Order: sequence, then C-alpha cells, then structure tokens
Amino acid sequence: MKDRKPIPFFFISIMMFLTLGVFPMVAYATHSYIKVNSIPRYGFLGGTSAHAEVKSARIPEGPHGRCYIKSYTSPGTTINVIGWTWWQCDVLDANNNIVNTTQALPARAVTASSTQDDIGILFTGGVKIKTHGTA
Amino acid sequence: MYLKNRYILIAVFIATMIMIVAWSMPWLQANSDTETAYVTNSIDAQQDQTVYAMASNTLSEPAEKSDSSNHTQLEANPMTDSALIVSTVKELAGRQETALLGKPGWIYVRRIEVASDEQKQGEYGSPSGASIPFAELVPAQTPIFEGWSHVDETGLYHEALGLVLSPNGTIHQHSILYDGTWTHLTLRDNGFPQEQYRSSHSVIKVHLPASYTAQWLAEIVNLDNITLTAYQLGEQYTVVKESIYKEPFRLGSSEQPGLPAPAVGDKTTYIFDMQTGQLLSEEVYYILEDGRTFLAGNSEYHVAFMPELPPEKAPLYYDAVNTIMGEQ
Repeated sequence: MKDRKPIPFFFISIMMFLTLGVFPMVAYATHSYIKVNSIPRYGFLGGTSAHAEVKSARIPEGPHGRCYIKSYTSPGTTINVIGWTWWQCDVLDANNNIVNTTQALPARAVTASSTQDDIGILFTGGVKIKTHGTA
Repeated sequence: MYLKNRYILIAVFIATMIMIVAWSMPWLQANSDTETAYVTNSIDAQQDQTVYAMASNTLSEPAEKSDSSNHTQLEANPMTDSALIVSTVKELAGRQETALLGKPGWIYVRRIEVASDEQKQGEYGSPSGASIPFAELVPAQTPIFEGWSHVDETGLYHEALGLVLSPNGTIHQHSILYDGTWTHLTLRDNGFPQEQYRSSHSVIKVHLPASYTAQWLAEIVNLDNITLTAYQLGEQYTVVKESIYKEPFRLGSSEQPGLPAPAVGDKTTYIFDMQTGQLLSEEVYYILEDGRTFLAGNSEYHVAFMPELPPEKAPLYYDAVNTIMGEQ
C-alpha cells in the first residue's frame, strides 16, 4: 500500500490566509451616525498585526456622505501584507433601492500601509450609506 | 503516518472553522449597528409626535389663493426663526403621520427625480466579478423610486416592496422585505453574491419623507454654519436650508471628481403641502468654489395609504416571496 504524503504546513497556512483574503466587510450609516467595521488585529509574519476597516458617515451640513476605507499594520511596515482588492460605497433609500454608488474601479483598491482613503457620495433620496469591501 | 496526517488535517479544519466564525463577527456587528441606528430613529420619531402637538398653533391656515406679487413679497420677507421653522415642519410631518398611520395597510412612497446634473454612469460591481451598468439600476432620465411598506397600527412595518422604474414602466430594481430580510432580486438575478443582495432588517417605523426631513432639520438646526429661512405661499410652505462648509467638499474621489469644482456650500429647498403635511419636493444645489451652482437633484414626492397592494404590483411582492420560500 502506498503511503500518502503529508500536506506541508506552509501550504495549509497559505490556504488559511487566502480564506482571510475573500472576507467581505460592510458598514452602514444613517443620518449623521458614523459606523465603523474592522477586522480585528491578527498576528503573522513574526508579530506584525494588520488592520482593515471601512467607515460610512452622513455629513451633517450637506446632502452627501463620505465612505472611508483604511488598512494599516502595527508596527508599521511598507510590506504589502494586507490590502483591499475591491471596495464600493452605496446609498440606499428606505425601500432598499440603490440610489447612488461609487464606481468600483481597481484604482480604488487600497494597499497595505495606506492612510485613510475616502470618497464623497451624494445622499439625496437616500437614508443609508453602505460601504463594503474585500480585504 | 497516515493516521498522524489525518489528525493534523482535522485540527487544521477545526482551526479554520473557528477563524471563519471569528471573522464573521464584524459583519454581524455591522448589521447590528444598522439596527441600532434605525431603532434610535424610530424612538426619535415617536418623541417628535409630542412636539407636533405642542407646536400646533404655529401654522396659520393656508391662504385661499395667491398671486405673483404676494409670492415676491413673501420671498422678500421670509421667516428666519430657525426653531419656529423646525417646529412648523415637525407639525406638518405630524399632520401627515396622523392622517396616514394608525391603521394596518400599505404606505406608498414615490420619489421622482425630475432633474439632476449628476451623471449616472459607471459600473455597479462586486468582489465576485459580477457587475451591471449603473444606468441599468438607475435610469439616467427621470428615474422613479417607489416603495410600499406594510404597516401595523403603530406604523411599524415587517413587509415591503421596493422598485426603481423608468417613466415607461420598465423595472430597473426590484427588492422585497420578507421575514426580516431584504432581498434585492435584481442583484441576485444578475449573479451578485448573497452578502450584497441580502441584508437584515429590524422592525422600524415606516419612513415618511416629511418626517425624515423634520428629523434631519432638527438635528442640524443648531449648527453654526447653517441657516434656515421659510415662507408660506398659498397652500405651500417652503423651507430653504443653506450651508457653508468648513472646508471645500469634493464629490467622488480626487481621481474621479463628481463636481466641476469643489463645493463650498449648498442650498436645499423643501416644499410642503400645508393641508396634508406632505413633502412635495426637494431641490439641492451645490455652491461651487468658483461661484457656479451645480444641481445635485430635484425630486418630487408622493405619499399615500393603500389598504392593499395595487393589483398590478401585488405579484411582484407575493411571487417573489414564494420564490424565496421555495429556495429555503
């Protein structure tokens, strides 16, 4: 009987990391409330922790809101250990109709050690902002 | 050796499942946040009803008729007492709530975007690669946003239907609320992932545009960079909100600006029907840094109570519910 080869540990680690990589994140905001959603820190690469978060906010003064996305590491590194492969921001009305959206372009992807990136979106007719992305 | 590998694989599988559950928590938290925000709004709306009653003597009866000279005079001498304006709007909103709520049935809200300088272009995307031109979700010319919310005696709703239509009746978006979950059928039918076309919904009070505007104005009235003016003309009560921003605002991103120049403020005009309290229209202009104005949107509203869904719309709700139940 032929012995089966053990699956290398590093292969399992890569698979688990890829599982992280397809996790969607969503944050909502209504009125002037700011909502934040973030992936809690997790350690890898010798203790470096990566953070990723999305935020939405209705601006009090105007008919618009802002959608934010951010990723960073601690301690800081320029190595691209985590990044946003895709993100998008929607404004919804009370009946779940999509009223407005940002354009989900590859150029909007945010890399590992980014500072906060944001985008302004019109809110007219909407009651809720939804920011979602894949980290 | 084989047995040892099998233990390793089982351990890895269990660890992976634990991590997936742990990473799911932020998403669940996001939905929980939404519910909290809505519950807060619902409570505020109930508190507002008391204010409506207290402010009931702030409105004069609608005039029988009006003419252009009267209009000019009123616009030249608008009311500037912000607190009075907000209480008046609250009273109007309360007037509509009293007329429409308090009995089970369907609340119909229609918003027609009659004018906008904003371009509806680009793609609506997803991480799965599915996409749809945004103009297919919201038609460029005169989109009609409709919603029917099935309310109980207290104004809370558990079922709803949302549609976006062209003036010729073509359906561009189709959503239903059933069993605590919104399902965006248009996104689902176009291959979008479930986390994008499904979202949870907590039981909240129905959204009436006049009440929402009253609540919004009450929230911002005390900001120092906002002024409110109002005038009453015939059966219409007009409120103009003007804002000066602390710093210029860019719509869109720096790479893809949505305005011809940064905005330094805006002017929003709300017109209410004094008989019904209904918000009739909302017009938003940005004031740009270079002095120009930019029309962000001009919408007309209509709100009504219906004992049942209209016969031509009912299948859009009930057939979709049957489909979803069949999938579960």
